[in-house]
Amino acid sequence: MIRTLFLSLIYGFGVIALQSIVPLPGDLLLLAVIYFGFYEEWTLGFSISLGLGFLLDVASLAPLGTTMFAYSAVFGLICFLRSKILFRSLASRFCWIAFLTLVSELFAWSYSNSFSETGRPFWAELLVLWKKIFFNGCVGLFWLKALQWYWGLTWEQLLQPSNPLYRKREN
Amino acid sequence: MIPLFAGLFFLSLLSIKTQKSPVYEQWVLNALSPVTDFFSWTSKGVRKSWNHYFYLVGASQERDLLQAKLSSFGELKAHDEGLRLENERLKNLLDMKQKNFPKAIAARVMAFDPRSEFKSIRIDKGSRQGIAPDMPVVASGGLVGKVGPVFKDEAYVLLIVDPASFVDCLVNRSRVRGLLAGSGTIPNTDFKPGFLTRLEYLKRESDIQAGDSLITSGLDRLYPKGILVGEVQTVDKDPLGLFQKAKVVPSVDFSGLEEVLILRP
Repeated sequence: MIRTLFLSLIYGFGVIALQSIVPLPGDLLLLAVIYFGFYEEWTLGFSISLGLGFLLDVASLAPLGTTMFAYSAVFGLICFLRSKILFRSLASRFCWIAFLTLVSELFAWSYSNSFSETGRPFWAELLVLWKKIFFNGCVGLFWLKALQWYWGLTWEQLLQPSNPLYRKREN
Repeated sequence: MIPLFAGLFFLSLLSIKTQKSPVYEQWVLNALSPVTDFFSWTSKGVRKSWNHYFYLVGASQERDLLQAKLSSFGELKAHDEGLRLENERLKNLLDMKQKNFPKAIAARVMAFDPRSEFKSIRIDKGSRQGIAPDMPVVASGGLVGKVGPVFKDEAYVLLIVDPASFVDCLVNRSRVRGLLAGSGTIPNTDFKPGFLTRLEYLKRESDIQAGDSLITSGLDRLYPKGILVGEVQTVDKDPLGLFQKAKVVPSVDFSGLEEVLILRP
């Protein structure tokens, strides 16, 4: 559990730094939330999703809670759906990630609009958001696999040097 | 004695310079010439091989070194170009500061908002440097926005293109007033993505047309009067509505923003 939290913290800071410098059209933290929703226990996944949302809210000028609310809504939806849907094939994976991105944005929009009225309807947001939805759908196809590998890393793999010369003899 | 004298006599005959070379000399030379040619060709070949192959082992290393130097010169040139552009931008900013805003504080842009829907930047100056919320922020191109939350050594700036941003503006040509609101990144009329703002609450009869430049009016008591904001791209006159709207392209290129000035009162 501590290992997962540690890796999540590194991932969260890394992605936020990346998204602050390179304006990515998508949201790599949301893909992590989707990963936790589908592949991890809900207690751990939910707390990490909230934590990632909190980090993004702090780093952004969005009202505090916007991303936390959106991520927890997406996580809840995945927990409700995951036993009922097919998520293995590429097409269904693309569609579900795109749909969950749309849901996340809808919740984020409604939350931030409840604090400050921007006067911009959600359909106007969609003119911009389609890129994000499409990006997340495409990147999610291989990113979730990469996340599976990343969160599967053990302490030994993290702390031991990769050079076989320095590895301990197994026998 | 006789053979000695005979020998000396023949030698004296040989030493006499004649116009025509003797036949035996020609024979010797003719015989020597292919050998000389062979040695000459061989020595040239050897020299050539030495110079172009064996000697070039060092030259090849030298070439690698020169290539590395060349690429480093390329990097240096690119770095120089970056410095030149930075110098130009800072010079413009300094001119602007000295002419119009002597109390302004210059700051460097550290990061953009990690959530693409919110248009804000983070700058490297905070409360310790005298930055306070709601201070206007400008760049060499014009108005950038206003200061948001402030930390010790950092501050957020809400850009004028953020949907939560509003600026009271004047059309420079006709002095017509309107309220400029951010639109975020919305495709323009050609469906090319870009930062846009919209001018609202313009009276129906107001004189405004595409190409008009907009400046701050100063009436919102937030931004000083006369800062360039943008240029009108299209005007949308609703035949039944009370007001007309206009799409405005900001004068500042927000995607390439690197340095800003924060205006102190």
